Amino acid sequence: MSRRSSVLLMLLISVIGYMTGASINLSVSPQRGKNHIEVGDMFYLYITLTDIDQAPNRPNLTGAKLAYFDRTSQQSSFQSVNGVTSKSYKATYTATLRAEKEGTFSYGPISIGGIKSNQVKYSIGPKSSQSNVYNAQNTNTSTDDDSKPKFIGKGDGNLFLKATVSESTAFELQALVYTVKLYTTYDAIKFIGATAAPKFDGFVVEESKDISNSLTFETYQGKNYATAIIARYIIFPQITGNLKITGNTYTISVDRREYYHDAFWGNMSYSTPLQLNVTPNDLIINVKALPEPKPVDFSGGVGTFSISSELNNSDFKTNQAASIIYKVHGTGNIKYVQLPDLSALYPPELEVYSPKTSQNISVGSTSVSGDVTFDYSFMPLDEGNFNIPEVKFVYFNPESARYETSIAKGYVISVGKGADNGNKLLKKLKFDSQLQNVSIKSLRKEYSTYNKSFLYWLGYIIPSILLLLIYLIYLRYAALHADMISFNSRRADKLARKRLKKAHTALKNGNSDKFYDELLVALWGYLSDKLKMPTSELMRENIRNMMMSKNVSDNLVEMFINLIDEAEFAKYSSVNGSDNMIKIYNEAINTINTIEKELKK
Amino acid sequence: MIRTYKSCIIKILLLFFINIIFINGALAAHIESADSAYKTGHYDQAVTLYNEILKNEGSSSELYYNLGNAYAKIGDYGNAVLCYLRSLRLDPSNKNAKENLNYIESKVIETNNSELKDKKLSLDAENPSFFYSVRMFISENHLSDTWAIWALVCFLVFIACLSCYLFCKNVIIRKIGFFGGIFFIFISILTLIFSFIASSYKSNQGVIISPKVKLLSEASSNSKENPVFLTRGTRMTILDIYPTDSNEPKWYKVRLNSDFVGWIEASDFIPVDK
Repeated sequence: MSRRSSVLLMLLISVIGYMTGASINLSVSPQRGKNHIEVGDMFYLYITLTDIDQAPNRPNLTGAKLAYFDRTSQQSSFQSVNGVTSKSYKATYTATLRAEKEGTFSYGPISIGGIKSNQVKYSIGPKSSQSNVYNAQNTNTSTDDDSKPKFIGKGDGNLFLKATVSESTAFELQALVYTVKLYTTYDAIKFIGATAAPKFDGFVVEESKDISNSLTFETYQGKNYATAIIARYIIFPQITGNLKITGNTYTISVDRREYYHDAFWGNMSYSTPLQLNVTPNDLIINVKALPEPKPVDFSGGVGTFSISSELNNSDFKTNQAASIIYKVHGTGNIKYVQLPDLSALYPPELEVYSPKTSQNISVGSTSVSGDVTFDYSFMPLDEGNFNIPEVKFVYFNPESARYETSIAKGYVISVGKGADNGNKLLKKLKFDSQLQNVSIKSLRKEYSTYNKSFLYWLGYIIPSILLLLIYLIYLRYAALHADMISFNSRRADKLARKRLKKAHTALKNGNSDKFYDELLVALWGYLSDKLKMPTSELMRENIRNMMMSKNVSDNLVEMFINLIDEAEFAKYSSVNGSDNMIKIYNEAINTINTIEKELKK
Repeated sequence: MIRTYKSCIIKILLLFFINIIFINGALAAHIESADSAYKTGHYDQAVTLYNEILKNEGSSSELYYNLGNAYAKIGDYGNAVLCYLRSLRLDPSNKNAKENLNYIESKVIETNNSELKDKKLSLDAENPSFFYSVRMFISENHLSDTWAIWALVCFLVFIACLSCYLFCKNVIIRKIGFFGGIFFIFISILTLIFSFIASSYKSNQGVIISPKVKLLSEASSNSKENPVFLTRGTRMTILDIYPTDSNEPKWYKVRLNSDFVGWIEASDFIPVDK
């Protein structure tokens, strides 16, 4: 049963063979190591004939020139099944062509011995710019996928470059490290040169010089490679979104070892120089914006940082510069961190100048770290105790995705009086931003000075006139006064007699009090007029002196003074006889008369 | 009849006072709004408001000082220096204006020096001559009115001395009056002369107000220029004025020192006293 069925199957196959037999198949393939045809490339047209004995004509393809045409393989088979002999024959002709024109063309169908072939289409692309001299050795195993390294070398990649970045998703301003690593199985690398820098769009780039030249060995996809880092860049994304880094092309010269079997020496090898153009893979980085709201005093630092302060001086004096150092230490975009505006933070009595900045930054394989020193100098403008405030350094930590703060401690300094050496640069300078009160009264459109106002000149005129008037009055008064005195002096005895008359009437009436009063008034008045002295200034001593100077005899003066004494004594005593009164009255008249006579001499 | 006359006067007086209060009230509000614009940090608005008051209501030392501060805050050091100088012309004793002027001028010197770089030119202003510094002492450091008041006070003391001499009989007092009188009338006349000098004085200083200006060797725009820019806020001495047909100044010949003498266009330069 089983035997019969197998025979049946054989028969069936041979029948199908007869029925399908005699066919022509056309196919086009680009040169090895490429998946498309470019102008100038060689490509192949395969014509496979089945059960046709004839040879095809030399094909004539548009856009290409035939270089070589020959039969490349031939196979025939004979089968004898149950006495039935079948023969099959297959031949392949290969046409080697050089692409000459761009475009999409088709070839066929062709017919040989009444049998028609299929039609092939082929397209010739433009000449690629990256074609190189050694393109015979270049084989791209996977060129479609940009994100994979471009393998260059024999078959499975003997040399390639791989680009990596420390984080594929990152925050704005976060420091990233872009590394290009060389993987090779070749013996010796003689030269590596980059034709251009990689294209970093939207990044700030720092090239790291920290590249070791020694090779390390690494297994990649099951194969051992010698590896070396050939470029390292520290990149800081400046904008958000998906940012692309395009790898640059490196020219690498290597030695390729070829092995062969020598009949005499056995297995031998030699090396041939090889120049390769290699491009690392492109990378796409997803950059996220820093979370909002940003703190007001955000320093721009993304990473982990700490700040410390150091005050060098201990002795502060006015107009003498001192320095304070702020040191930011950490990992991240440390080169771009900024301190808050210290001149706004510090008390106005301390003038802060712009800092000297020094950086000590090293680039590791995954991060940038180091410290930045801000050396501020400041100048105390006033004496007293001042508070140097804490300085807050606000940065964004991408690991915790939060804003964090590091604080540099503050100080209290006491400023003593410094030397005031008159240096112009060290003069007290500060901007007083306070406004002054504008009083409405003080606003003037026209400015006139006092010396042009009449009122001002009145200030001179009035006192002058007043003084003049007073002086004139004074002169007049003085003249008048002088007249009065001499007049009175001349009329002194007349006046005295007048007063004595009054005393006489008092005597007649027997009024002793009034009599003495009038008598004394007459006597004193006489002296006052005669000596040109006010009555109040008259005293017994100066009467004597004055009389002497007027050549009045000594005993006469004694008599006069005695008379006054007697009158005053009688006035206050109880002895008031009318005889005594008459006696004193006569005496007074006699004394005045004799004085008059003596003065007239 | 008399009553209506009286009420009429009262009405007029009332109207007059209301008018004064109203005008003053509006002006006070004007000043206050300018001040508050400054205090809230709207400096350019404060500049406009102060300038309006200056134009419509007149000037004072304090007003110029405030305007100068607003200019300084928006970084217009040219106008700031000009305002402080004018503030000091109205009141030489305005200490704050003097301090701020020194501060802004130190900034201007810094800018000028950074422009100078390694060129062998000097930017230091010349020391004034003896004669000029005496004039400055009389006219810029003191107001004419201050001298006038001193003159009047001395005159009154002279009057007092004279009256002592005339009316007193004591010989010592009369001697004091005589010599004191001579001394004080001399001082009075001197200060009165000073007051006239100060009132007729016109400052020959001016300030560059354009951000960067080069001095020209002649009063025409295509003449040779000094290689160094002078920044706004630089104070210069006016030597000569080249007027236009309508007698407005068109070019000023200015001098800082022997390295910086030249012509400057009137649009770049404003004299302190108009």
